[in-house]
Amino acid sequence: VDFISAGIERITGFSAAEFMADADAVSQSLLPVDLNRLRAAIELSRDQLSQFEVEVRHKHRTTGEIRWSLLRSTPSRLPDGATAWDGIEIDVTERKLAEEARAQTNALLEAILGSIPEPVMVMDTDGHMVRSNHVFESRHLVTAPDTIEQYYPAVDAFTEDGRPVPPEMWPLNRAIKGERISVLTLRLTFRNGGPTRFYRYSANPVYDTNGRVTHAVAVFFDVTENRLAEMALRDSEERYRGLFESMQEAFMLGEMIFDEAGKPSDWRYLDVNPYFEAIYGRKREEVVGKTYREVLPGAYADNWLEIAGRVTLTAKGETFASKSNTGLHLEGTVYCPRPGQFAAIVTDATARLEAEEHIQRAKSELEVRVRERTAQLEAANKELEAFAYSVSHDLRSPLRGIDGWSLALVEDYAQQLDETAREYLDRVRAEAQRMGMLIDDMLQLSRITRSQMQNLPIDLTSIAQKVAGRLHESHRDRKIEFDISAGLTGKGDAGLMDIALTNLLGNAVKFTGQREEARIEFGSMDRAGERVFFVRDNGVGFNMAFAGKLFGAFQRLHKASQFPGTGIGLATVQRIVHRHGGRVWAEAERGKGATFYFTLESQ
Amino acid sequence: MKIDSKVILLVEDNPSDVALTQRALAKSRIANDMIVAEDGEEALDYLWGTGAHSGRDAADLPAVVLLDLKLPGISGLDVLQKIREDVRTRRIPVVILTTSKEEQDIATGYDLGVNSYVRKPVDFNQFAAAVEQLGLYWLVLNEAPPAPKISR
Repeated sequence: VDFISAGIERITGFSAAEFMADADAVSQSLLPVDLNRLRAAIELSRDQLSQFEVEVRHKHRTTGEIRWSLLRSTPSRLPDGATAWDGIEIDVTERKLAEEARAQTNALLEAILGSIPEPVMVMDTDGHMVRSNHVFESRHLVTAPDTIEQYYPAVDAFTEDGRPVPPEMWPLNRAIKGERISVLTLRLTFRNGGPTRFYRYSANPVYDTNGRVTHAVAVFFDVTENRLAEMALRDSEERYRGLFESMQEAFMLGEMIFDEAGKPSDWRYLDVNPYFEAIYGRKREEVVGKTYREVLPGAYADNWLEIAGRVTLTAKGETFASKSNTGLHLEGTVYCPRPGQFAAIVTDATARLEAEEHIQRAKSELEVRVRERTAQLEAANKELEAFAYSVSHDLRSPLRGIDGWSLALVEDYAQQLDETAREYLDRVRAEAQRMGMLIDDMLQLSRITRSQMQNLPIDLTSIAQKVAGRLHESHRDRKIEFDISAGLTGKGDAGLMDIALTNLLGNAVKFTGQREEARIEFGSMDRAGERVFFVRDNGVGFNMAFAGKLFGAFQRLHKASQFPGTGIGLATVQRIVHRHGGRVWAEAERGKGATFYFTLESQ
Repeated sequence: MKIDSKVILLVEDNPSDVALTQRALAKSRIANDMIVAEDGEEALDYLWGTGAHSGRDAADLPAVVLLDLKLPGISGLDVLQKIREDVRTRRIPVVILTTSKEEQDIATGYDLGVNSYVRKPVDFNQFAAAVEQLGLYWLVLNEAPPAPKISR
């Protein structure tokens, strides 16, 4: 070193003279690592003959203080080929420290931003997003924008009560104008379809030393879950409040009061609803906060306290019925919503009970009327039975007399009577016997109506076969072919069905009397889903014009000389079928046979 | 033909029916005497030897009682019951001969111990045949019950 200014002593503790005298002083004053860098820079500068600039650290010889210096030097080639440098050394310690401090501050800031789990954004006056922790972007899948304008088409903001908030009123844009926003909640919707969120903002302007706003900082907390919970709670509260206010049951909430012995002695009204006011005739203000004994002094005729006390102690709900001091019939439920309290829901059952009483009264009146009618009916039935009995007995006796004495005349006075007289007496006897049959058939008809009926499974095929067997027996001279389907079953009274089939098959036998060969069929068919039984013959049939008269008692469609009968058989069949809940009808054509159909409802 | 000296007791209030029954018996040539009681009380008096028939030997019972049901006063079924309740007459054959064929009457008759239930047909020939068969059966075929030993 050929020359160095005196200022070097302030940095290194070595005087300029020492520096110039002892080249080692230079290397001693520098930190070894910086010395190496300096040497490398000098070598490069010498080889390339270019200016070098190196920042090095000196360690002060006496104080040990480290100071930064900037060495800038320009080489020049001497005539002997050696290289000489001249340059300056500047103390840059203050600048270096400031730089370090800034780097540390930045690192701290980044660390803070990175560790905040909620979105943080810093914007400059141009609207550039100079810093953010990218939570917002990653949470809402928007690309981290360079400027706030880029958010405008992606996000819509609303106040909590639903008014839109334009971008110029967004927290960062307000803070950049100098406004401090401590709390503001906004609802954000995302045009990319992301779920709506609620954010609570705080935003502040950042000032420079001149008091000018340079940046705006905003932190926003996601309060969506809280808001949704609050809204749900509010909804539910509103709903229950509505129920509470409008329900047609009285509601009361009470807090049980216990005496020294721990027994329920009174309660305090905590809340009552409007219907409570209506039923008990007391305003809410007169009741809430007061005790039962205050509200109703001395009136403890009911067992209210007993029930409410038991429910509060056991936490087991109970139902009750009582009569109010206003004369209403009350019914309700008491339950224990939380320890020490009870709630009662009370219905005014007066109208219902009165209606029930009314129904009960009407019912018993009806029962009396039914009993009276039944008695009348029974009396009428008895009368009918007595009538039938007397018909069977009293009307038949004279007939036997008429027949017997006519015969006696014929037998005992045969000589005195001529042919005509004997023929007349035969007619008298025939008429008497016919009347006997009429009486018998009529009695059978009345018995069918009166008799107890069974309702059991019956085998119609086997009944018809038995009837056919009897008919064969009594018509040995006739050629009759019965075609009876197998497996015909139904439900009803076998005895009555025997009578019905005897009449139907007997009629078929009778009205095929003129046929060489009678064909009588008994079977069943399905008509519109209904099982229909039928008896078909190839007899004389009848004129359908008179079909309506077929089933009336004593109605006959044929001459007695051709087909004798009383005209009661089909009336009997109809009664039997009706008693089974079925229908009976007939189809025929004159000369071409007849078919009788019947159904049994109870099959 | 007269079978023993046993009589037939006919309990019947209708004179025409009585006469017809007598005629039928005559026709069948059953010559046994027929006693007619016109109501239940008279029938019981005859059987027990009481009232109008006091002094009659109650041990001499008819071979058969033909009993109508429809009688003035005590009904036929009541007469039957009294006959069966009395130790002197409880074994006597009783045939209900009536115009009724009410099921209830038939059932009650048998419950009370009637021996036979016959319905009178309207046709006299049939009626006569029935009476003849009854007479032959009860007077000829049937073994009469032993007379009860009554200690007074």
